[in-house]
Parts: sequence; C-alpha cells; structure tokens
Amino acid sequence: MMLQAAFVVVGVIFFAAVVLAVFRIVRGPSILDRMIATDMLVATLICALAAEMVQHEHTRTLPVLLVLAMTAFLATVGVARYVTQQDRPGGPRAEGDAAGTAAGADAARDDTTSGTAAR
Amino acid sequence: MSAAELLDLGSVLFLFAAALLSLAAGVGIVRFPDPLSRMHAATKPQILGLVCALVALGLQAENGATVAALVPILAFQMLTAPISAHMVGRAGYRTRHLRRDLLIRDELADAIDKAHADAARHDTEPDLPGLVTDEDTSDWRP
Repeated sequence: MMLQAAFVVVGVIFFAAVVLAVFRIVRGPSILDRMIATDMLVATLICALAAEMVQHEHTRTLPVLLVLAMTAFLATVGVARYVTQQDRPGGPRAEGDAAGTAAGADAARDDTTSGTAAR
Repeated sequence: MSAAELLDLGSVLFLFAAALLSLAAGVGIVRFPDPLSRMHAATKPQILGLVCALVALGLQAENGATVAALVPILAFQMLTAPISAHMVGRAGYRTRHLRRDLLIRDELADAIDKAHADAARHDTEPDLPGLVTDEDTSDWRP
C-alpha cells in the first residue's frame, strides 16, 4: 500500500517535469531551446515508462524504451543542421544588421546578387 | 521484511532518484538563461536518470533476459545523447545562441584566434574545420 502511494508520487514528479519541458517548448524563444527541451522530454518519457513497468510488473514496453533511446537524437541532429541566426531572439533581422540578413533563409543561399553581395 | 519487499523498496528509491533528476532538469530548462546552460540541465535525466530507472527495472527482473535487454537501452542512449548535444552546442555557438556575458571562459574562441593567427603568419586561409567566427557566420552553410 505504501509502495503504491510512492508510485503515485513518482508519477506526479515525472508529470511536473514533463509540464516544465512543454512550457519551454512552447516559450522557445529559439528553435535550439525547443530541441533541447524535446530531448529532455523524451528522456523523461523513457524514465516514466520504466517506472510504469516497475509499478505494474510487466516488461512489454522494453522495446519501446530501446527504440526511443536509439532514435531520439535524430530529430535534434536534423534541426541543429539548419539553425540560422534568424532563429535567435533579437537576431540580425531584428537588429537590422545587413550582414546577418544574408545568413539565414536557405532560399537566399544561392542568391548571390542580393544576399552575399550586400555583405 | 522479506527479500522481495527489500527489492521493491530499492526499486522505488531508484525511481524517486530518476523522477527527481527529471524534475531538476525541468526546473533548469525553464529557469536557465541561454541554450548552453539549458543543455547542461537537460542532460540530467538522459544518462543518470535513465541509469536509475533501469536499475529499478533490473531489481524487479525475474530472469537474466530482462536484465540483458536493459543493457542496449543504456548503451544506445550513451551513444546518441552526446551526438545530439554536440550538434546543438555546435549550432548554438556558430549562430551565437549564447550569452557571452555569462561565459567565464571561452576556449573555442582561443582556438579560433590561434587558427587565424597561424593563417596570417603563413598567409593562408585559416584551417577551421567546423569552426566559424562571429564575422563569418553570415555565409555559413549547414
């Protein structure tokens, strides 16, 4: 009985952690903050699934843990490849910095006349 | 108190540790000021929290096969968590997603300065694989 109450407390703490992570995903301010919070959310989810397995004494979700541990990093790596200064709060566009406006949008990458020439 | 009850108690204690580490990461990710320090907070449940949760599972395991299934979970997490952290930190430094006033020491800037100094001495382009300075980020290609 005591142990069941302890599992409830553990679940509440995990829930609080997830709520805080979702708060950071919603607030941002940059895409990197969102990806860091997403990584942490997945790690918390893995721990919470393990706690659920201990509570209900089964091992059915072990493959889920394995797949999450294997693939959670792919989204973060994909997004991190394409972060630009425009994603920064108060970034070049907000500052009106001419050098920075060429930095970001992938569309401007091949546009040698407008973007990089201005630099 | 029987052995099974002791194992249950141990499991619950390890789960508490995992939950508190997750909560600490959540608080850190909300309260810390810039992506680099938030990365530091977010790694808590990724390794140590996962280890605690897996130990709690292992204490409840009825056979060796279950314990053996826990090892690759930890192994893959240990392999992949540094990859994403590296990519996020690299992208964050390049695109200046960091607050320099909070840095006590920036060793990467020292390396960049050294590369530029070496290049100037030999009259060549600086050899900076994967490194882009603040002035150069405008034409950075992913």
